[in-house]
Amino acid sequence: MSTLTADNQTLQAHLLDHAYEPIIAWELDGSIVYWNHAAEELYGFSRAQALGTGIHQLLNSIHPIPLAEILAQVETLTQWSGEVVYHTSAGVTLSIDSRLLLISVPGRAPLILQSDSDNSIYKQAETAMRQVYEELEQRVEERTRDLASANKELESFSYSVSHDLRAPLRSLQGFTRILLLDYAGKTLDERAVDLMHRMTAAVTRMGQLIEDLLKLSQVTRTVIHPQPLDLTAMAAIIFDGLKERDPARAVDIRVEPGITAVADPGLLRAVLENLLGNAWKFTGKTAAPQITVGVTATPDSDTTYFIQDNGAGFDMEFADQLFAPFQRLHRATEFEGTGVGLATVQRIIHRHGGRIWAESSPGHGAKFFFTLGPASKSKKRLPQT
Amino acid sequence: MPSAQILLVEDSPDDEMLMLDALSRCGLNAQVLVARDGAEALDCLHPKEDGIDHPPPRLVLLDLKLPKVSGLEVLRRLRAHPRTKYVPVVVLTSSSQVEDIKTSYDNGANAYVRKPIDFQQFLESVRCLEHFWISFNETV
Repeated sequence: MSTLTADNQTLQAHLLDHAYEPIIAWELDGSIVYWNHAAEELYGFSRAQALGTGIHQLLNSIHPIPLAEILAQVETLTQWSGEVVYHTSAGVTLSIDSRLLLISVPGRAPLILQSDSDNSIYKQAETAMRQVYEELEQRVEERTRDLASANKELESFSYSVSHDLRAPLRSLQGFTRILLLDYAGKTLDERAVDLMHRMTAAVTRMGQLIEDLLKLSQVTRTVIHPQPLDLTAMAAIIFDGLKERDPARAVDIRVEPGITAVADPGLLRAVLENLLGNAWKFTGKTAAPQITVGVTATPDSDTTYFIQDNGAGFDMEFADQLFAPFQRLHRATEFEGTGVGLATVQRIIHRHGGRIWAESSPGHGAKFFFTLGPASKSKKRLPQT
Repeated sequence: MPSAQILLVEDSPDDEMLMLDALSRCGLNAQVLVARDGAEALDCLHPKEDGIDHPPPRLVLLDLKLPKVSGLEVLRRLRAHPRTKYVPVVVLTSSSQVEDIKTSYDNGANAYVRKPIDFQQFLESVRCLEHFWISFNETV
């Protein structure tokens, strides 16, 4: 078997013509001296049209950097590669990866060999993809906007509904009370009075429910104004209120001194009112009720606030229902409530960037933990006075 | 008595009845004139010139949510008019919205009564009104 020799010019010409990619040779002034079949195919100019013509004029080239710089680089480094825009005879714009190589041929001026690769298809795909991506992004933005406005509408709807629902309740409650005040023991017998009392109680419950729903919707609408707060003092005031309403109860209350936080005062007060109120309520049937308020370190935050009681507690199996509105873990006859309180608390905590969770077991009390997000600094002690 | 001592501006007939009942239950037996929307209230407060000098009411109980002219607008016009500039106004509100109450005060209300669902609580509020009424009548 004999090897093909490199100087077989006919063979080489055939090989070049057989290549998929345009192969062109030109002199430093641009005049084309070789133009293969693939170049004819891609650029639409025949070999006869191309030979002797300046390549930059023929293809109306647009280079990424000035041509002079490309030529300078080819002359010093003998090669250059880059993306060049060419125009075909039909006027189609092509984006071409072009490789240039300077060679010296004995007996004539140096030549530049050019080998091209058409990446217009990839470019088009890239543009199309970018368009799809942009469209997608725009659609997401639109949907987010729609969702936000729907959310807002829903909130104001629920607000006005619960607001307007109170008027007929007020009438019901008022007229039943008047009946009781003016007719009990006269035209209304004991049974009628009992039924009336049940009606007023039902109306009061519904009123409380609406009131709680209003608070829940307000929590989402209110703008948060965080400021430094003395939680120890706040807890003391709330406990005073609870004692006042229920003076017969003796609860062992322990509030750690100097608990501070940075939060919205109104909203944090609502949080404590709910959590302390719950602790108070659920220790209602405990022999020696005890409620502790303090700060501890947890994996979530160095400043994790907690409220612990030794009351009824709950089964951790239902812990995920704890913070959902209208979910109650106790029967209404055992402990009253609307089931909206903890939902409100969770919403407030989330709006402060914090987290709330609880540990409990039935009959062994409950411990509620909450953080107020990264914004709240670690346990600061107030100066003792 | 030539004219009403209290003007109650209230569009809900139920609330009107409850308010009248509460007023008499608290022993506030003044003559009460009822206006059922803001426009009617303004007609009562600023009657057309008929040559007769109707004295303005001595107290206005004003619901905020009213048809035609809102309670706040009634309050503003009442305060802008020399005839009614100093008439004590108690705003009746069914909302616990702090802004509503604040806006009322900003516009010249003297006090507010929340209309709670519980009638007993309402009676207590009206009883506070009674004190307000007495103290104000003593100064007149």
